[in-house]
Amino acid sequence: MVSPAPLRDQSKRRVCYYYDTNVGNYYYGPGHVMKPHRIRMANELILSYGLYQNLSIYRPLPASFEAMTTFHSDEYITFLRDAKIDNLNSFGASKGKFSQNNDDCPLFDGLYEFCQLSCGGSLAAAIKLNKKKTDIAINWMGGLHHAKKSESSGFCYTNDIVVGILELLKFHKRVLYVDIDIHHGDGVEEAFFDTNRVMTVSFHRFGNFFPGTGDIKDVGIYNGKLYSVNVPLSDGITDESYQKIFVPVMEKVMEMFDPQAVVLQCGADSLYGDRLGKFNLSLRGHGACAEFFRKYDVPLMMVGGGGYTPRNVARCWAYETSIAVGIEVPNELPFNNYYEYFGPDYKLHIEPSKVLKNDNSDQKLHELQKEIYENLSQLDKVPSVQMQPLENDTLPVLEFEDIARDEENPDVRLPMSIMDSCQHNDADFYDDENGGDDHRNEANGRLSTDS
Amino acid sequence: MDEDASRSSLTDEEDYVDDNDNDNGEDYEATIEEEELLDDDGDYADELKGWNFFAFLLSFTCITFCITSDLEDEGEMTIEELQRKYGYNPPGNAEETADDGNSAGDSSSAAHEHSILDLGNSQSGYEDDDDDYAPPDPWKRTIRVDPVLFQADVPDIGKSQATDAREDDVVLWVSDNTNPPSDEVLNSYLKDIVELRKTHDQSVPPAGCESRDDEDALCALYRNNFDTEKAKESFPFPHINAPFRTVRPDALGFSEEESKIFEESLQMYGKDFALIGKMRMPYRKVGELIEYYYQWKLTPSYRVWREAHPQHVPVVQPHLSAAWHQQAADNGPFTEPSTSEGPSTLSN
Repeated sequence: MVSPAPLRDQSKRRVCYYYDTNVGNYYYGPGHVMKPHRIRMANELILSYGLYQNLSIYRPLPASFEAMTTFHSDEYITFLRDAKIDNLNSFGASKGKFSQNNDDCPLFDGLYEFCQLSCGGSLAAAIKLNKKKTDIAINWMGGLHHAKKSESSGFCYTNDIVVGILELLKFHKRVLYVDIDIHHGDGVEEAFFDTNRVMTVSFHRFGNFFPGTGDIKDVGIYNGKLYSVNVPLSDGITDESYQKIFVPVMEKVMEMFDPQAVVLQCGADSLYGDRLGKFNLSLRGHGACAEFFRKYDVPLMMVGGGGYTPRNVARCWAYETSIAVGIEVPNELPFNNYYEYFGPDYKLHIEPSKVLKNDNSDQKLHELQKEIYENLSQLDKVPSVQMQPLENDTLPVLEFEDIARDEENPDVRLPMSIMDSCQHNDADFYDDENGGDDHRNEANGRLSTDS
Repeated sequence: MDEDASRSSLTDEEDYVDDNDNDNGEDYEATIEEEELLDDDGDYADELKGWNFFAFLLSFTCITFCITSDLEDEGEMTIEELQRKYGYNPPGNAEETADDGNSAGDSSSAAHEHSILDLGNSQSGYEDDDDDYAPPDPWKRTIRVDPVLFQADVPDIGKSQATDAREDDVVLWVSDNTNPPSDEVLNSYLKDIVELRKTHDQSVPPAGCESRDDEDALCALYRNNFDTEKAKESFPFPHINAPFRTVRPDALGFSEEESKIFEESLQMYGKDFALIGKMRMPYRKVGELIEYYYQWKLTPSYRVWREAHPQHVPVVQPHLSAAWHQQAADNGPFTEPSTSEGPSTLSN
């Protein structure tokens, strides 16, 4: 039986943060509830709290056509790139071809760019984690979990999460995806429905609620059978009830699946007071999910998602950034460029409702847990490393590195994942293969070439 | 699709599109329910009938309601009634929705199993020889299965180089390095920068906001290898995270004349910034209008504009809406929670 990774001490994690200031300047259209400006408001709080100092900040390269088509079809990305309102017909874009609902997912100015930034952030985060250069990577521009291979849905056009996970899968055998948005993470589940290399776990409102998938009976198919987990919930769930089901389910998942990387979608529409949702979570209950994964010594990617009351979205993601860096921030919001939006209280934390009825009884939650446990216990237990001889397909990353190092052709630059683990000899003329030009390690470079 | 026609119908819509559109903290209503109570027009009971709950935003989705209401009626009939209607022999118990945690025994799991193995949309048709079949709830959807059309191509592990051309992410600041500056050094550096900015007439955060990080200053420090003196020498700093894609780098701030045009356009076209740009300010990028909009909302002129155009002002709500009061009456006395759902000062 595999025990969870030992609890690491609660202090420092390396955290990388991906953000592009353009993102707040895209607008879905008049009357649309999805407002990218909320991401800018979150960034503003993070800056104002002084959290920047504890993060590594990157402006990600926009994802290329090739990067996005690692998941999406060429035809669909071409459509996103080239479609304008007056040439829709040339794409045969009848209603339903690239979108179930053209009003949820309108064509807006800069749509393709927006998608590139969203995917670019998640892709950069995944690559950073692959190179083991960070413990936690954050992309609040991402988390758009409804987008499908050839179809936009639920305000999502490109699925940055799938693109990011596909990158992680190049170096991690098993990736866990956890979705705490109030809506079922259908785009990600569908993408990985038939594989056992990605386990998708979604906690969501189920029952006459968008998108209509996420039944507890949906467990995956073919090789992916039992690798999709769905936790259907009802309105009014509180912090306490949520943790009552989240913790046992996730502990079991960590035990049975033993992921090598985790992607956590932090959709903020599961908070109390969201314009589209009727859950009753506070920031603490929501953030407890991020805290849960921080306890495990496993690479973590945190992405955004839903959230339709912008001031609460900003609060939530700023708070969860503070959790990632392990710094407690005061409840009094710091003055910032959007301070007025946080009235009348100007506090970070929100009070959940005391009158909203919780339709999730302890009994119901217990039954959900029971059924999920029954499914999870049927999973082939992941063998622990020590107990089995290495097979050809286990730990290939290790083998790849060893072999590559041995067989290195001095004329060919080795991949970063190997270079990072190489020690350099002070006698070398250059401190590393980059010819002393690696600006990330400029401090190091200085020290050795100065001598 | 005639986008312009749909836009005009949107602006005709009383509520959700423009006037009561909750922007950035101006929510008086915590939920859709409370917002609905603002408006006496329209029957919102029908909303929950269709599976598409976003559809309420737009007037022409009543078509969707018509289509799904027949299915909804069927969804409310018992299985027995439905099967009698379509000529089947009623089997055992009815399939239950997943809201109810009770598993209704074998027949419901059999019905679900059917939906898992059903490769494709199970709403696509009836199978006449399947006794257990029952039309699913109209809001339900199934995950589609087809390795080419729907599932992702999972890459093999260990076969890729990690150098996948991502060295181009712009690094603004690195906190994790072998010799990071201490918090004291960083804070005193940032304080010095505030002073520097003051002497150069640049804007600074108000007193009491020393916790705010200065992006440009941190980036300058990083690019000077954490040498605070060198970084200060390189002042003034470039605005390192400027939104150059959506805002032209040489864009000027909005003049008084432009602000006037902007406010008039809002009145005329609503928050359709692409249209406003096209009609009145074609030299501006749409992103500049959006950026200005969110800044303008914080200014006094916004309040003036709101007062001048009362039809755009949402009705001021009491701290808790009538819905909550009703629920409280049902549940007994409660203390009024202090929440963030109350009207923000933007409304005043």
